[in-house]
Amino acid sequence: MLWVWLQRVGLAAAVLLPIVGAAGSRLRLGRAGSVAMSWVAASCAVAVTVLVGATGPAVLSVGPVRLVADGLSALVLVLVVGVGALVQSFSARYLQTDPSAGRFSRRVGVVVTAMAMVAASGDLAGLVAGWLVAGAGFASVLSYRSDLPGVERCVAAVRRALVVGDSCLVAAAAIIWARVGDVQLGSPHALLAAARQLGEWRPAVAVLLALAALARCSQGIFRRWLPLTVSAPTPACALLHAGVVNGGGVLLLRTGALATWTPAMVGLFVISGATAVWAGLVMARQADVKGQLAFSTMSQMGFMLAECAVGAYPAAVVHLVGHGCYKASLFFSSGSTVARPGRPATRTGPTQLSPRAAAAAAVPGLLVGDGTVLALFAAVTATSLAGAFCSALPAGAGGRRLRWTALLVMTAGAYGATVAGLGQLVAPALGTGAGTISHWWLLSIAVAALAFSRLVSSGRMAARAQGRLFEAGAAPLGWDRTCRDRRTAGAVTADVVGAPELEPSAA
Amino acid sequence: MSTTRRDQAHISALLDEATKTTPLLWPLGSAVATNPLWDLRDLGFAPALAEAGQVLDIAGLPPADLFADAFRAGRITTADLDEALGDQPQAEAPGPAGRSGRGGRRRSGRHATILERHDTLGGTTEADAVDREMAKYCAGYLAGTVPAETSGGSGFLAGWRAVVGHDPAGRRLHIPELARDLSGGPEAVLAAVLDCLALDDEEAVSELAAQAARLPGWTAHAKWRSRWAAPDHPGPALQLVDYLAVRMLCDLAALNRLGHRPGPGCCDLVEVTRSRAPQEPSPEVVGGRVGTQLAALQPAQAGLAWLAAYEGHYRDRLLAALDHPDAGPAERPGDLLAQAVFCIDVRSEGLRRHLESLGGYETFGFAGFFGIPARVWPLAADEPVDLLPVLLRPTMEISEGVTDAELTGPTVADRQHLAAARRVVDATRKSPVASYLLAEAGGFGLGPLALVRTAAPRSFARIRRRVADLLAPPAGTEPRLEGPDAPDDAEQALYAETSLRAMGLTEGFAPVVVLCGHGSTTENNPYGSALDCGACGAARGATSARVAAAVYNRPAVRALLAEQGITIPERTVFVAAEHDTATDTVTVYRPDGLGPGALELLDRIGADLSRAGRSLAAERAASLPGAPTRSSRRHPHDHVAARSADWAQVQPEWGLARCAAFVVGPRRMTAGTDLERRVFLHSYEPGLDPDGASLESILGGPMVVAQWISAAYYHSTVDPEVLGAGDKVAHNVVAGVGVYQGAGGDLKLGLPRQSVFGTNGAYHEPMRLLVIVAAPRGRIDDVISRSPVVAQLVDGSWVRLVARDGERFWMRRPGAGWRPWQPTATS
Repeated sequence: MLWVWLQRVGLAAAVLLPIVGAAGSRLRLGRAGSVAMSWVAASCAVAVTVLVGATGPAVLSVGPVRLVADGLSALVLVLVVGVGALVQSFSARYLQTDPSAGRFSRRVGVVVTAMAMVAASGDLAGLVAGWLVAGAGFASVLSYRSDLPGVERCVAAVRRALVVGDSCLVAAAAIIWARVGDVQLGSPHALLAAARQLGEWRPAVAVLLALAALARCSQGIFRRWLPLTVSAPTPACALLHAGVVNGGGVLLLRTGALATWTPAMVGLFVISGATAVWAGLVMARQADVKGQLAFSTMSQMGFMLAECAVGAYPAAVVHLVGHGCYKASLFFSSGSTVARPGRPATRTGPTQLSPRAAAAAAVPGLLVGDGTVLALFAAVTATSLAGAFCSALPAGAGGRRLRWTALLVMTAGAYGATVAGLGQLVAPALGTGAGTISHWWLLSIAVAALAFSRLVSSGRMAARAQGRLFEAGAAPLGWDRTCRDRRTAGAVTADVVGAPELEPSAA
Repeated sequence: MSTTRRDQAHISALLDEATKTTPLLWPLGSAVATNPLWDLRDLGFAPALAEAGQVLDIAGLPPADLFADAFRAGRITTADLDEALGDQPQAEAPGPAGRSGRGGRRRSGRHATILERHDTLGGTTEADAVDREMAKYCAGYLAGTVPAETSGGSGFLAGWRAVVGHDPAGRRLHIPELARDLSGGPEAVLAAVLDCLALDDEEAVSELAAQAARLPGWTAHAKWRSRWAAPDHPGPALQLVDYLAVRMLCDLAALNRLGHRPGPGCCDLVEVTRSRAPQEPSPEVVGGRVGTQLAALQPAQAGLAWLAAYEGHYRDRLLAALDHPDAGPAERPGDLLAQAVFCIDVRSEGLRRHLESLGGYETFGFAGFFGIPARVWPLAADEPVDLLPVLLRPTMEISEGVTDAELTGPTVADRQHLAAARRVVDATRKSPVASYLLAEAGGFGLGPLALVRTAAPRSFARIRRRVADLLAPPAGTEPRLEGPDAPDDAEQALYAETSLRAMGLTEGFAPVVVLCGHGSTTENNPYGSALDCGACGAARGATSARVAAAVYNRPAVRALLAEQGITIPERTVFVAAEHDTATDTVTVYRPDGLGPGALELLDRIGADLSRAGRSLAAERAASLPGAPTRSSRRHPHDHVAARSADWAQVQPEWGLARCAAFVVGPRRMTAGTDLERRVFLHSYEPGLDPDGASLESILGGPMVVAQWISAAYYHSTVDPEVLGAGDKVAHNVVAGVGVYQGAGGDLKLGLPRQSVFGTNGAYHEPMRLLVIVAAPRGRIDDVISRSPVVAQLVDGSWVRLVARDGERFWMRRPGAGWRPWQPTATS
């Protein structure tokens, strides 16, 4: 009983402390206090996750608000609240001479609590409310430095995309309320029952939820806004890419059976898979580091939504959390990408395969228990790493390769164990995936990615495709123009900006 | 289309003339501070500002607010203004090297390209569209997306041609057809485009200059690559002529679309000036006669008067502090522990002052490459590092070897493996299938590390170093100065002798001579190299110091030096060291084979350097934003160390901000005075240099470097939008060579906002460099007449020159000779 209460208190603290700390920074607390509070919140989230693993899920109901701590919500909470703490702590120094840093910190607090609600709310109303606040709050986080070039336009683009996505979610929620009433999230059975009750409205709900997820993840026709956001300060980008943009995945995972209508899943898979492949190809041709990160996020979000569409739920959760940590860290360290002259020699060449690499590749494949398809992905990744390592070594570089092989095998083993452990933690909270399509569809992403990267590098279509990918990666004309400029610039700008560009399905 | 009449040489000449107003931009890996108006130096300071102002849209002079605030704070007094106004007519007259060569050129229509005029007339944004395409292709070219080698030739133009035909944006703008019609190399294309537009030479220069100013950052990068980079510099070469050829082609395509009719009068279509705010009026804070005088001046003239007053006030304060009787050549006391040679960098001044205060040390100032113009091949590297000021070319190639030769193989292999492992992640990130799970797996490692890195930066740095040491165990290295590949002894001795004479260290050697370079350890900082040693080509100074110390320790070199009359006693040992300016710690590199007595002495010197560093850290921390207050229990030394390791820190140190003066003279002139880390100190013994040869090389080399640094800080403070690198918090590194501010556009020039601005306005005081030379005025005049560059800088008022001659200070006014300096009441 004590553990359950601790779990509830921790849950409440993890959700509320970010916003309380942010509000408090204006009062007594000060900047340091606010940062400390965000760390306390992150620790609570970790503690809740541990307790969920040890004792099982818990529910906290206070008045109309209902919070759930199960494997899924706890793990996403760790990510969101942890990234929030990182962002607050990082920006306390990063923005030390910025007089408006306090405003930034308060808005971050609001977004973190809102995303925590999306992750942990026990009913649909809380999730929708959190979702709306997180979107609006994020736009305001971006706009806190609207004097920087490009920020004004990117905020406008974000607001446009979010309005569409949010409307879809609100519409879906309205249908559900009208037909079923408020649905309890966090219980796969309740969701399944609700989905049955929806009857003929089920397709509409599924399509609307998928659209909301696509808009939040910047997929398909919504792909334009994400690359623009790199104009905002680095901590804002880190928050977006680690804690907000993956909201689409959280939504689909938490609404589970409500969203799984097979045709909608097929559509979701095609759009997100195509975006994943296309954005990956664009990313490999980007010259600027933050542009690379933005297109990489788009590609990774596509992969994550495709995992949702095929019902590989545990894998999607693991990917969501892993990618969030990865991208936050890379954004923070985006200033470390300048090479100083006089580095040790490396070679650039085609990836070589070695027997040892192939052996190393088998390890994660054996350890990832989730399914053959992902084991294949893991094997390809390990093989690529080993192959790239061998091909980067200058010709005739001898010596101690064994320690690197050992390192790779150990890393692969640790990864496999992590995935297996987290998969067990989250699995009870996830639906059965009824209505989703087969796992094997994921393989088509790998095949398509390989085929297109082949097509782009040689052959008749190569030059044409290269040109299109190159153009797609560049900031659009007028990206740094302010609203005032746009008014004076006249019709021609609008014409050029609105000209057709590459559709993902055409890639 | 008419036949092409301009040949390659003609086009080159036009380009040279047109890109005089283009600033220079070194790649971030060696971010050398430059004077953005360097190629306009023959005009003189004020005319150059006016010229660059027309083309680059810069103000050139500090804003009126800054002067008004300085006046209210007493940093400028009415007396300063009065003196500046009295000086002004002579001071700003064109010097002898001034306008002569460029007189009579028509300046009208210089500001905008033909396409910009069409845009203004028709309300279109074609010029912006061309800018976007140019920025896209330049970035793509440097990142390797646009090929540097194609079947149609090599270079930017050829690569662009290969891609633009398949680029939807290019096709939309109808560029590919035109690119096909106008074939040939970049010069031929430029000549053809200029013909199509029917521009004569003068109009062509105007047009090209305006074109170059559309994206000054990319042009500045191309200018560096074409005019300053070593020909074998690695990476794709973006040449100026290719860049402008592509630009002009894009413009011509747009003009054709708009129905532009070339011919006489087309340039007078409409007079467009850029959107620059009108020159700010002189702040109305001064009353009385001086106020009236200021109000009567043109804004630019008044601004210059304010600047001169701002500079004059600092000069008077500094000269008053230095105005004490010369004690004569210092006795070299027998109990001298060590002589220490530091870089001229302003940050060395603090360490020298604190070290001298401990007693037993004599310090010298000399450029941080210690006179050895070396191209060094670091161990296991496949590209060399040029460790010398960018104004010089390397003449010695030196490779680094492992001290214990048996370890060479494994050490090289370990380093190559580590480098390959670092590359692997970058390569796999971009691979089509492996990227998905790499991100996921990487996140579980990077996430916890990010926590440690944010919460405990120093612990993270320690862990990272341990891991790197484990994977590639460190091994002692040393420069190879003997053997078939090493420079010969005579060459080494020649450079050694020149340097010793220039720093005035030819006799009375102490038992230890420390050669102390400097570098800055910062984390996650694209502009890290801007904090390193400018005299080593924006690299860390340790290698140069180690090479120099090794040269001086070689018996063969000492024997040759003795033949030239410089006898270094056998017991004297040269020791290399490096001052980390971010942490104020000093690393001492001990040579092998020292006796116990020497080792004990080195221990003591090391302890003294560390004490001096701690005092300096305490002094410095007081001015760093976000540093703990005095009441905090944390020692400032720990704070600066944490700052240096912190990936969230955008202001790890202030670098050379507030640099103001360059003193050439013996240390006894400045010793004991707190120069607030604002003064470059170059040692010079006037008595040892009767013919002025050393003085000429000091004023022609280190003074120019100091002027570049001072100018880079000046312009980054005065025109942060155009000549500053913008806000670090939104920097986006492009192809490893520069930064965008945001999602795209132009490369940023100069220094980031955080390097020159604090929370409340400018931290750097924008002033021209004050040069104080301890030498007879006649000798200085001789040097000026012998060296054209020095003459341009001095006579063009780019620097303010003061001589210390006969126990007095003399101020040199361009075109009006020397005038004795009088201590004023304000100082």
